Amino acid sequence: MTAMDEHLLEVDDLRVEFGRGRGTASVLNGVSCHVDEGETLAVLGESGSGKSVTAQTIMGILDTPPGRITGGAVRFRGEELLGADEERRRLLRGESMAMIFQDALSALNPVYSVGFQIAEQFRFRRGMSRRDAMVRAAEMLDLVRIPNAKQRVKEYPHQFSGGMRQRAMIAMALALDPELLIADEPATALDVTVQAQIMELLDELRRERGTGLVLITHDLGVVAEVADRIAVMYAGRIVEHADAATLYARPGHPYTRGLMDSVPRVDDAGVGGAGAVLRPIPGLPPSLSAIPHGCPFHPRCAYAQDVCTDEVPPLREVGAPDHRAACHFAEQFVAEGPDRPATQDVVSG
Amino acid sequence: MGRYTARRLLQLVPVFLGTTFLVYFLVWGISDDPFAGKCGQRACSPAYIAEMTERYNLDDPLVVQYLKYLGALLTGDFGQTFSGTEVSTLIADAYPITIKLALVAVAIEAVIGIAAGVLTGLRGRGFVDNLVLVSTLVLIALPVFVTGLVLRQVLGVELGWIRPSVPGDPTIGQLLVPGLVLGALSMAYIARLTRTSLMENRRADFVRTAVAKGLTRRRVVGVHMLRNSLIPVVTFLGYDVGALMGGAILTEGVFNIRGIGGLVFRGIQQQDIATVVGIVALLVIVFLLANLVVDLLYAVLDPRIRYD
Repeated sequence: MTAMDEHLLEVDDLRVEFGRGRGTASVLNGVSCHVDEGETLAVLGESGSGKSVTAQTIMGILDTPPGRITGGAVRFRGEELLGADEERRRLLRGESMAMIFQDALSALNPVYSVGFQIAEQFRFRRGMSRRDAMVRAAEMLDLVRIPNAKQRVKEYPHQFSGGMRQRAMIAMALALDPELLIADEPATALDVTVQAQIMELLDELRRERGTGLVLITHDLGVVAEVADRIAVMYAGRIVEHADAATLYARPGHPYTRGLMDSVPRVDDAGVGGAGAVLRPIPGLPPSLSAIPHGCPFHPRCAYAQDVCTDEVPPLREVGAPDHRAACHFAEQFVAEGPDRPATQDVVSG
Repeated sequence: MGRYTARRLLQLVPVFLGTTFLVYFLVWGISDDPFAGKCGQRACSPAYIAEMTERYNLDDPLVVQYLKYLGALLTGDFGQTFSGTEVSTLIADAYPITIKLALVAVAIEAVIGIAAGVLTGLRGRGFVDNLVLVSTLVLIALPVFVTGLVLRQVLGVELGWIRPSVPGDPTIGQLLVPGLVLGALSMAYIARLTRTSLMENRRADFVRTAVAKGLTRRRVVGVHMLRNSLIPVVTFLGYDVGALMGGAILTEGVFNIRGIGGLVFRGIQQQDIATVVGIVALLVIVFLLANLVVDLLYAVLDPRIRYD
């Protein structure tokens, strides 16, 4: 591989299982994606689709056991990570890649001050003195716009509000100026106005620092604003991938379409008034220890044909460059545009 | 925290008055004849009765007796036994031994208990884990006098490694085996508490965060996991110190240690009322203070706990 087409992060056919024997759950079934410097890749999917496991595998913090990496590769600037020794991976964490967790209250250690937890990285990775590290920690809090950072640096996580805690979490992740930032549902636990602030902050910091951002979320609304490219996951696979505009304009997979229909939209209400109807995707995501034969989405898909129960549709290019979808009829859906409903219980009006 | 401490100290006053009055009432008020059996098979001489009635204010109503006793207690006068020994002398002789024994027991509990708990809590299932689980179960199931008597017989009498009877002013070394017997039960609980606590924290989100920050494993375990896991253990240890300061009747009995437990036990047996009331008064205060220290320590260890 030459330096030219070397991505910041490249995940190739990643496979992860949990458990052993009959109860084995195939959590990742060949996930491939990449991120470049300064761009945002959104990974979208329901709970249990494998988003977080993908993130943890990239970071090297997957619990093994119960998890088990059974195949694939994770390359950071071309360097293969899955075979690398633990010390090398540790040195990459924080320094080159960092992670923001969903629930900052439980992700921060309750018995140490916020400043202590940020300062740890300066002390043990940069060899700074305790005092200098605390000064730097306060600067980081200031960077994520926490007011009175100098005083608040000594406070404990439970003394911070939800939004402030998440900001502190971001400050911690950015402390060593990593090139790759993985944000696992960074705003989900927060209320909507704070959500928007956090997303804005992340986006801004990414732009300023040229960080590659993997944004894991189940919230389409969040993704629309900040993502360059979107990967939609279902049952441990990427079922559709496109740049944000293409995905919204011409979704190629019924599941993507279903996700869009299950989110209320402002323009729906504007045009249709009270007639705006949410169309949730029927059924539940499959159990990962019994993924349906063929296309894993077929039991919930309104357009399922015989071929869908027999053959797993490959992820392939459909129309626009870099627009890939894993549906036997993706080309048709792309051609038809977004207005065809994903489910057949169409409500008129 | 200052106001909380002051309030807790104030609470000591009614608790102290209540418990001492209760004990005083129970030992003086319940027996019809406090001189029964005091003078061997014969009845006590009128002169003796008169002297004792004078010494313990027995002609006054019970409440007045109690208040007079309390007044003396507050000036540091614990009173005298029937045979005329100062109770304060008895306490001064016995209490240092009890404190020594308690500290040895707590040290053994803390060192062995926490070490076993950390070892099994970090490693997870396996031979060591099973070994610790089974041996702690045995310790929990065995009564103290059984472990005490067996160890005294085996180590003291048959192997001759220790003296089966501890001398009057024992050294730390001579108290090791009695301390082990005394601390065995709590040691088992501490091992299990530490193990469970660590296992819970091992999968905690904040531990994962610490790993994701790129800290060394030693720092993740030593700083992020241990501190959180040891909070309940330290609390348990603190309460145990308070309880052990009250003496250990069984362990003291088995190894013939002249501690406070044996003293109060003999006082009850011989109906030596001044001894019993005086020691109980002291133990109540020690126990309450120990609990207060634990509660304050808890707030120091866990910043989420704030008293105000």
